[in-house]
Amino acid sequence: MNLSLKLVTVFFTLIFGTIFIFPINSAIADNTAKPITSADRVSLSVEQVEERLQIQQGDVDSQQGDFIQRKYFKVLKKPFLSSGSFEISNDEFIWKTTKPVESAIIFNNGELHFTDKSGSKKAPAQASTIAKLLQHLIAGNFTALTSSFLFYDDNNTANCVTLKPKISAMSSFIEQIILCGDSQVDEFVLFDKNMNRTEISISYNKAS
Amino acid sequence: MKRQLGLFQGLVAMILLLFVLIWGKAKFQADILSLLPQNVQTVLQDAESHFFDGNKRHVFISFSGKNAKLSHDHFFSLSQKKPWFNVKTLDLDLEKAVQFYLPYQGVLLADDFSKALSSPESYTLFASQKLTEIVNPFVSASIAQDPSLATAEFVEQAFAKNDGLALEDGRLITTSSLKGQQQFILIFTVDNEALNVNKAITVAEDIKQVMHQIERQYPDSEVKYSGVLFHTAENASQAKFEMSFFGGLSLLAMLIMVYFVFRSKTALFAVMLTISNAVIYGFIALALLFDSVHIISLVFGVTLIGISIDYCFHVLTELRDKKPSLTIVNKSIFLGFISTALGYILLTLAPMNFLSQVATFIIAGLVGAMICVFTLVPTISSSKSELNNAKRDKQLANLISLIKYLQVRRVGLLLVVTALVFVSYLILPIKFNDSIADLNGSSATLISNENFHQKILSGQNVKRLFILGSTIEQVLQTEEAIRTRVSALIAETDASSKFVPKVTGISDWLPSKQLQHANNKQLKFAQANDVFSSWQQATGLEVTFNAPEPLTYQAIKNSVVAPYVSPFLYAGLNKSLGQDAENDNDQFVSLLQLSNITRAQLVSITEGLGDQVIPFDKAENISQIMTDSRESLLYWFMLALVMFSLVICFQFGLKAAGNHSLALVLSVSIALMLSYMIQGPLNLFNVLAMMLILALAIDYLIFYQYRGTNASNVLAISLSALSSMFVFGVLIFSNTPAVYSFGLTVMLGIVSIFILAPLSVVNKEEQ
Repeated sequence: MNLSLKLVTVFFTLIFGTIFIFPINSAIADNTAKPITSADRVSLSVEQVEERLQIQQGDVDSQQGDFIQRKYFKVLKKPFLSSGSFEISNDEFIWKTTKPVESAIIFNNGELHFTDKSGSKKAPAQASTIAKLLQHLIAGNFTALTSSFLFYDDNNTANCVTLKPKISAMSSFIEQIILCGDSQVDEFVLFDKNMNRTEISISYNKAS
Repeated sequence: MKRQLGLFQGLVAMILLLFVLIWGKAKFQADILSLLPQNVQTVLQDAESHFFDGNKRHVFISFSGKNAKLSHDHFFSLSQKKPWFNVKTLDLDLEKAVQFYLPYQGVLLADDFSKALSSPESYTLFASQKLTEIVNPFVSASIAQDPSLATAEFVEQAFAKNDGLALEDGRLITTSSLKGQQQFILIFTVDNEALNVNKAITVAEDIKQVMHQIERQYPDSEVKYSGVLFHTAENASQAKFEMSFFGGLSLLAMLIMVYFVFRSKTALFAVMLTISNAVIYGFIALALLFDSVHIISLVFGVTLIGISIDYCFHVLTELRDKKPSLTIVNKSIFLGFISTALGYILLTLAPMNFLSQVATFIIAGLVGAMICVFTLVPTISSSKSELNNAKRDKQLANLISLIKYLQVRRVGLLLVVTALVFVSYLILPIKFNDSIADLNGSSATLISNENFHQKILSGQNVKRLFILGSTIEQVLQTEEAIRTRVSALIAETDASSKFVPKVTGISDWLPSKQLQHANNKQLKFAQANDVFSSWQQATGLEVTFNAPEPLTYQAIKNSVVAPYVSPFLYAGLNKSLGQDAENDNDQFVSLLQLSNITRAQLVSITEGLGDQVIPFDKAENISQIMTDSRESLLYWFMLALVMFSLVICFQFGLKAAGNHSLALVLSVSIALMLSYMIQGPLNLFNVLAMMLILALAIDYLIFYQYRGTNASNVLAISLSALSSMFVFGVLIFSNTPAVYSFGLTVMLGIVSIFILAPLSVVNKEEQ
């Protein structure tokens, strides 16, 4: 395959986010969140975002906790529900799903590893973008996120910000992200191009 | 009358020269790839151009080390202002790609989807996985129309085939770290114009300046560059230097030699006029007959100076002796021209286009030289006494005495030389090594960078196959047969290994009709066996499969996914039989890439597929073409030698034919053996040099045979040999191995024939 095709396929396969495996175990959930559509607002600086969410980057060296993910599709009446745990440090990110099926994604020193019921697998290379995005979102690393996103305030809630992709690598599969928190990131919602959304709620272990 | 004729031709030549210069007919190029031997199979050659020509304009810059990301970003921001920087904006429209495939649901199956159809449980698990991924735009775009997710998985698999590079925050990165370091890659495209001789040098220099700026600012980062642009720039600047340096040096040496031999300004003027006329004729012929002239042709063409000057020597020496008529010498010059021209025409038997340019330049140049010495030279050398030189005459007399001394002992001498040559070939059998590298004079840094980039971009075990067929269906079925064999290999490989075999090709996007039919059957069978039931119950969606028209290349060709398919399928349509429809005489070639496959595995994968599958290894193919050419040139050499012997036999008798043939064979053998001792394994260009030795040696033999060892003849031949030795000898300083090999062997051959030619002369009384 020649290099021009490589570039194009690489770009597309970014969105290859085969990370989480769950059987159908859905629960009816609130489906009222709406994406921001106005494009004429002034973007926020990293400092403004940190002030708004009361999050200071570098407050903690490492974090660990649990997550619950709800996935909503417009054609489906019920969202998919899954849960697990995570660990973040400077050079490692572990996203482990425990219910209902065990799987894990480990991002260590720039290399991505993926395991599921069948054992260790080579993770799709493009999944590293998703893993890094999650890592930065949970860690509240807004400086790192500025290379891919612009920040806006969220009119509905005081302790939330909206992230809009500014590069095509992100905008090709993410419409926007709403990130909420108070001294640490508690929840974020990802909207895809078809306005289906994924809600991820975070709870932190006391040790962190 | 002669003078008027000479001046007239000179005037015409000057007008033509001005015409080609002013009208821009003379275009030069230094594209290293255009030097490569051409494959004789037209379809494969066309397919190769179709697949790879686009890559010529790519430039690759990699960044590694502590501040790799910063240096990447800084390079990017600095380059954006530059006219040569052109990063293709990728207009991604996944929606359209998915929408294109949706009408074909029911005939498309991805590998994992196919496996999941084995039971309701495995399918439910598979489908659930797809729905719970954080972001999956394929599912998102197709679930409403295709709730089975078959289309989503098929398109996703097609796009996901390549994992050599990843995109992270808009930067291309390597997925596996090499030497423990992650590489950031920047790939951009330069204009076609940037590959022209002068532009390539400027653009490459400008890019390197930006790189140096980055390296100074981030000393911990390592920046590497590669791409055809840099090869072109390096080879162009080197060839330009060599052409002017070798040309200037040769010209200066010739003029010094002429001055010391003839001690006459008239002789100097005659020589300069002859060389100028020759170069103008050669240049005009090149400009008029070729769209663009490769600069390496002109490096080889420098030898015109040494050959054209010979004609002038013969006329000048004849004039020195105050001969009333130049008829005999003119006849000898004309015969000499014929043999040299034939020798250069033989060079074009090698499958490299630039040798045709070399031959054209030299032959046209010699015509120019010949016209000049027939018309202008005799008229300008009016005061013939000027050409006399007592000191030179004394040295010449000594040389003639030596020749005669050797001629008396020639039987013994020839026997000794023959025995020595024979023994040396027994002790030291000559080895050959035909390598693509012979044509490349690029720096070690650039070649090392290129190897490094190849490893990080394509992996270390990448094999490419040309799949041939008379229909697209046949091509696709062959690709699928190979996929099946590779799948068997994958089953034996550890899934966690970084080196799982992988196949990438057009059948990722377009299954054969046969496979589409089988897919439809499998889906309907699964539906009949309630594989989708629990999924339908859980989601409330209804999975249905139609019996659509099969997906065809015609549909793909006009679709959003065409850029992923068309570049890898070459359609050699027989246009006389119709427009786009496939006909009996059509030939199709696709490019299939296999990764992490060993050579042994490749043999077993392609076993039994016959001529439908041709492994594509450019370097190996070229080496093979060069080897074949070298071997066929040896046969041509033998044929030329036999023909020459027959002509001599007819003209001068059997003994002369035997002697001359022996002298030729010995000269060539000595030249090859000495070249082997100096250079190591020989190549195609040493063999090409044999042809030229033959052509030039025949001149010496004919001159000796016609004119004997008289003073003017010995002087002319000696000067001619000295000039040829010099112009070919200077080529050994070339950085391009091909030029070096060619120059070395011709020079050694001329030394040999200069010594052996007088020994092979048969006097009239001996005939």
